[in-house]
Amino acid sequence: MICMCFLSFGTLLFSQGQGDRGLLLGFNASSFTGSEILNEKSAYLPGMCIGFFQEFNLGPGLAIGPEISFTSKGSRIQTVGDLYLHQVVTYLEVPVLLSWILNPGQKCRGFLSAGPSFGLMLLAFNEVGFPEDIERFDMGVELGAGVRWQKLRLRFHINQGFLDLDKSDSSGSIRNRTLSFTLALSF
Amino acid sequence: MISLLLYTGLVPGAGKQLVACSVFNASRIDKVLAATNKDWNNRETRILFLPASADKYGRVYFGYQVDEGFQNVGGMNEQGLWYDGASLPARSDIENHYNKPRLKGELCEKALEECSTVDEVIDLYSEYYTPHWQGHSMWADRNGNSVIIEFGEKDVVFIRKEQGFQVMTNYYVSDPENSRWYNCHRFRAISEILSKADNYSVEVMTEALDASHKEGLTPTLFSNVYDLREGEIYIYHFHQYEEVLRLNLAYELDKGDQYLELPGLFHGLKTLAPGKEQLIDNVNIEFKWSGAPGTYELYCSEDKAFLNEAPVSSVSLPEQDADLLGFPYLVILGVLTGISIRVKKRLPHMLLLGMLIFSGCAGCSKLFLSPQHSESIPCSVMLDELKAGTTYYWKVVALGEQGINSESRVRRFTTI
Repeated sequence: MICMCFLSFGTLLFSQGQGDRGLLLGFNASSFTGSEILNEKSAYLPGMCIGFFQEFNLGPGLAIGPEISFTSKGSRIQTVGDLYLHQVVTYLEVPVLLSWILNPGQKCRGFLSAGPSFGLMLLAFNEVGFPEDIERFDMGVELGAGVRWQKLRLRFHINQGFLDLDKSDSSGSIRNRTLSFTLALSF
Repeated sequence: MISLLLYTGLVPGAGKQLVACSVFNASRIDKVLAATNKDWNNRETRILFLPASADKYGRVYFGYQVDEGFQNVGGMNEQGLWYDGASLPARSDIENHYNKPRLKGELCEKALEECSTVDEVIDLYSEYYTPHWQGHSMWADRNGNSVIIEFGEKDVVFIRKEQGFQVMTNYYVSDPENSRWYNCHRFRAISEILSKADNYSVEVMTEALDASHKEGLTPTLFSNVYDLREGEIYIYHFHQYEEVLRLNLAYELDKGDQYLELPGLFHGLKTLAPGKEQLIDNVNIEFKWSGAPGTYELYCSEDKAFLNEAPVSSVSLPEQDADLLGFPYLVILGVLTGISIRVKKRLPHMLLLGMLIFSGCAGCSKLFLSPQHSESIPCSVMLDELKAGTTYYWKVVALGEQGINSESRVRRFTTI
């Protein structure tokens, strides 16, 4: 449904020729946060994302744009002794970001971005198996900053989940947190 | 001479690769059963019987022939104490934090030699330190007690059975914080079958073994069900649960030291007809099965246990002619090589040649394992004038060279 909405939305605005669009590739580091996650037991897990973005100009220096990407998240979790479990959760993620361009008209432009993010869990796995007690839907907020130079965009952003991912009987809550470094190419 | 490298449940290379195994036990008032699937890529599976000696109980070990000798991965002693192991991810933080005394041999060996109950095993593991913790082990005794032994943060930990059964696969059972992430399908399949079972029997345990067996690069090489009270062991080879080898520990120990090649005890026996619980509109029945060359006895009776029953027929399957399958393969290989040399457009031929060479190498290598039965010969026996409207049980017994017979699972059919 998220894909359908996005595609419909994108198609509508593409046809009006008002936006910038392209592909994005990112590397990230994810971890779980929450009341039951001890900092010393949870560490960042490297991952990546690949996707597509569409942006629409709202006015001078202001733009809004949805993205759709396959993103891997998760956490490296200490279990017993020096053993770690690498819990990977893959999502189809759709952030909708409002971007404020700091110096419009320049060749190299800095920008800030913020907006909600929606995720649909595709697959979760670790060394032992495929955990089933993970919520399918995730929602959070994304904040970022970056630079644009010609057709390239370089962005650093943080995505903090709001929803508890844990469906098991265990007490406490678990949320996603992802730090990403994204390179996008518009065409 | 056999060197007994007594383990703690794990295979060589543990630390380099994680080898799957499934281990479980279940008990009710009158039954104490334990079972295991051993998954790896070493087909040299062995059984070692060691009779009782001074201060040591008689015992049997199951394991593998490796370069260093025999490496056991599980066993049972004549007191009905059983153990088996499963590998865990390698750790580098295991140390003797409490300066416990160490033994020269392996703790699991000493336990099987000297202990008869789970409590005694716990005392032994509490007292001594062993550095071999590439896995965990499960212990059960004839009284129905059971414990999983692992190395925790600083010392060994004991997880006792809390319900009628206990299961372990290849993750730390003692890690309560992360249980939400441990969703092993083999663990789940076994737990589901055992929790739904009204009674525990060899059939239920075998069903759980079948549900959790592995195929592929590290398949289930053998599976055992142990009856700890009766001292019976049911063995299956290469996840072929159609053919079972039943051994009585006391009987085998009476024969003295024995070191048996496990694959050689099996015959690739498969029953074909009558089918499972078939209704047959005839009193003349043709029984069909297949197996390796050897002597087979057919049993057919109204008594499921075949008590005091003699075989109704005996059949010898002779060796077949030498396998000529390799010949056409070599002919094709030779022709293609010739064409590749002579014809200018060599690429397609070279590709085909490469594929043939690869498939030949893969077939000969240890990459894809298969049971060590060279041939399976079909066989049939006709039985006339069975009673109409009667339920019959039948099985086939393959007579082994060392007086150890394997047999098919018991099948049932009803005449109309």
